Amino acid sequence: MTADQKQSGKGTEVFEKHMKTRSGIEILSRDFLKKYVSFVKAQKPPELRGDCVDFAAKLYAALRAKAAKADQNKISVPITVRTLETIIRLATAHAKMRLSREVTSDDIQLAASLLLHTIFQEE
Amino acid sequence: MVDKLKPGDRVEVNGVFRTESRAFNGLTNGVYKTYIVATGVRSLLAEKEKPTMSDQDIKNIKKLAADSNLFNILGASMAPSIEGNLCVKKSLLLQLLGGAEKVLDNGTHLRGDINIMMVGDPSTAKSQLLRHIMDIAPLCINTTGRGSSAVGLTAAVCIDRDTGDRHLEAGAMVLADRGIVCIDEFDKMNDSDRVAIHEVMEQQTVTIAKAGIHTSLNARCSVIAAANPVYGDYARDLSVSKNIGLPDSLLSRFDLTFVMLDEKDPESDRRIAEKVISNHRFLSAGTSAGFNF
Repeated sequence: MTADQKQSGKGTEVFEKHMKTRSGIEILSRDFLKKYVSFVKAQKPPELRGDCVDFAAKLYAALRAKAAKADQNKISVPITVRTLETIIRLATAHAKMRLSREVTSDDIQLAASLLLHTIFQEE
Repeated sequence: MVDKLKPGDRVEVNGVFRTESRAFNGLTNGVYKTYIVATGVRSLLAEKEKPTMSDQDIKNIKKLAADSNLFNILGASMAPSIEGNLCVKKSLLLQLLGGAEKVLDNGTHLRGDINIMMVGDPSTAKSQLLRHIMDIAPLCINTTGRGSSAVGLTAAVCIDRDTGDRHLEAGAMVLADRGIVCIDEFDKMNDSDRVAIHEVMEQQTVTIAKAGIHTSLNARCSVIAAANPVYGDYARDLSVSKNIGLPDSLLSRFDLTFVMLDEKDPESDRRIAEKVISNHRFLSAGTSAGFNF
């Protein structure tokens, strides 16, 4: 960005021109996406709320049970304590993305659904 | 200034740039040794390559963050030239943002970086996704499995030509501290070289005990690896871990492992074809005309 743009207070274009996905979602411009990422990274990391701990623990237990029952050939990775940490990390990243100060159980649910997709190859 | 920095740190050095001529048999050969007499060094870790932001940008960011469809919008904006793969794109986005790193009071360090592995048939846009991450990420080091060795990834002990002292040379993963390392063709990597990154991926440090140097360097980086299945194509009748062909100890260090299949489905094939062709369709701005009359 040039100094002129900064002075006049104009930001980068938010959306790419004439680009939409099939479902009608507008595509963010590359520069704006870069700015978004570095802005989010500069923020204080969100905290884990107390009730999430319970929720995550239950999810992990359910995942372990599911993996034990499922066809071993279909599971891509073994489910270990590292998996639980993965859920927390993904949930934290998602909360960061929302610029939220705390990680809610919705974040954890979303993280778990991503994980389910990769481990059991299901939607 | 002693012990303030570690190999691989990005620094700003203030000092005087000087040259020194070495007389050999009373003659100088015209090649001068150069060095900087430093008067101060400052670590640039906190302020690496940040884009300048205007007030309007911050307003736009906050406005977007309040959107209920935020995750889909950001996910779709990752690598827009690639059709589908929304799940992978979303995960890559989360990887870019990263989780929260924690150092507990008792000294335990909890990793905050997310590592992602993509395994799949050839031509499922794995490398293209890597390329896009390299474009977006503030700090990203790119390497391939064939082109990297264990010391090249971690750290090497080198001998200084002029003084004969041994010193440490930071490898790719140390240089990518607080950033992302992209490793393409992960399956083609030597087993002995691959073992070197086990420590980095969980402990996030590189420990060196070689040639009288014993030290540990920070390598807090996220790893994103792309690999082909063992048999070239993904064998659907075999188990997932047989297809990936990597040891469990390494696989469990990857937070997310994506299996990307090249399904032969007319509907999705058509969608992909449309996308690829539309990428080729329009001239980019500034392309000059073929004839100038």
